[in-house]
Amino acid sequence: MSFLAAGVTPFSASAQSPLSFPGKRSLMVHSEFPEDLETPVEAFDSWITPNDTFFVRQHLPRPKVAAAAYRLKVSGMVSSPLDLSLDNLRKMPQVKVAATLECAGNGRSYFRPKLPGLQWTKGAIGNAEWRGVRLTDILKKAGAATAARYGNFNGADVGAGKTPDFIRSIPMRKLMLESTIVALEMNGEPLPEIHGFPARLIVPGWDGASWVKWVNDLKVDEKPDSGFYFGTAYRYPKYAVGPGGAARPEDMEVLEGMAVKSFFTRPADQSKVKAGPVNVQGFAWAGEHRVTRVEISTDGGGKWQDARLGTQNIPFCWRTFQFSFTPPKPGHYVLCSRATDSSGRVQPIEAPWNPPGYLWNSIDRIGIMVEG
Amino acid sequence: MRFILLWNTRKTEPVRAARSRVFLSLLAARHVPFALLMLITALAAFAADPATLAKGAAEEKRCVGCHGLRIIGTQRLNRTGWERELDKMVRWGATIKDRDALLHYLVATYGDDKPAAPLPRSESAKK
Repeated sequence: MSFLAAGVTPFSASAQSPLSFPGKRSLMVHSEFPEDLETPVEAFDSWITPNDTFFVRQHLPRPKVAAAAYRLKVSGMVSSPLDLSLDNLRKMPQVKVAATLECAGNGRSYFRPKLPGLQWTKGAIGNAEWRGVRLTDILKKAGAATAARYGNFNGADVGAGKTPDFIRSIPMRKLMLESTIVALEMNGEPLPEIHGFPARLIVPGWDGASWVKWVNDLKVDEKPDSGFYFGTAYRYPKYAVGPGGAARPEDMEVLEGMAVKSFFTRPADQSKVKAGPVNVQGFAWAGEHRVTRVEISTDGGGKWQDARLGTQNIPFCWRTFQFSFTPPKPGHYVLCSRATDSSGRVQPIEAPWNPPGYLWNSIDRIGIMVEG
Repeated sequence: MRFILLWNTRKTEPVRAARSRVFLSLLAARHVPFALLMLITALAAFAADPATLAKGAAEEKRCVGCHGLRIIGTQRLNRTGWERELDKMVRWGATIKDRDALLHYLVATYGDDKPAAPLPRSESAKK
């Protein structure tokens, strides 16, 4: 959309001078303007990631949307175009969907050769409970044509100069799922501005780029958007190109579901621990699939043992894992974690290198020093 | 065997030409390390030239119209990588006055041979 929409004003770079961000605890700062903030691994200590801890990824500067002026426009291949206010949306049936959100580029900094883009380590991921309106209800209300194939979504954010607008297309098959919603709440609070107030898309199991923030425009169409953020970016090669390789544009496919992966949150990498049992824990998730197993190695990947999976086993959400390790003697140990999902995918030793640096899911590895 | 034969045959024009090509390429090959050294020295001198770096740093400040500088400083790219980024930014509306200086500055400061940039931690904030 554009600033033409009433009540939308951009933030300026100068407004961001001290390194603190509204409603956020201490996070790793990749960029202060636009805001790209990563959750430090040690801050992940619950199945739900609190709002103040949740990572932030903005492509364009965060807009300020006035609640009273907000409208979600629905147009294109529909029999009755809509212009929904926040009140209109609140009066529609509300559903709760818990889902894990991960940036496609999470872990990009580990790829070699190095790649341009945000140098995320492990923390561009979080799990929240979202509440809002099903896309199917909105599409039904608008009378979307059966021939329509895509919903093309735009938000209130705009870039400076000729920076392309952030528009994402989601195929109807995903929009028709009960879990795909326009969220108005995050973890029981109105959606924080930094996460898309007043409304954002929730596209469970898919990369974060699909979860359009400050969403205010839905065009129902036969064709997807051809702009930069759907036509070029957030695409992944059909076949592995090898480290440093190139893929032809026609061999790049739109990213949808995410990879299977796990990572440790305790103990801290390269920490010293006292002799005796060590409580090892972390999270595992698999996009649209379920995590069925997490295995741990305490000898650098030689032998593997099953970790205990958390009882919360909900579609599109990560699972906690726990493992008690009693080191047989002092010294340095390399711990590895490897997840398997319901479709049979297993976390690889090395994630395939790819030009945009997406879907890093190598087996996680930490070192600990056990004191004598 | 074939080599010796070449030298012992009557010097027809093509053979002479081939021999002179071989000679030239050998000559060039002997000078490759020297030429490379000269090139590297020249490049290093240019890249480290404080005036060029200062120009590049000044040019970098113009980027803040659209985004903060940290997103530049956390990248680690080789010359080709930085060229691509500059091309993209120009497509997206950036005006660069001294592209050569900016490129030299970026490669010298945020090249892929540099260690990863430390990520600062923000301070906790209320709503």
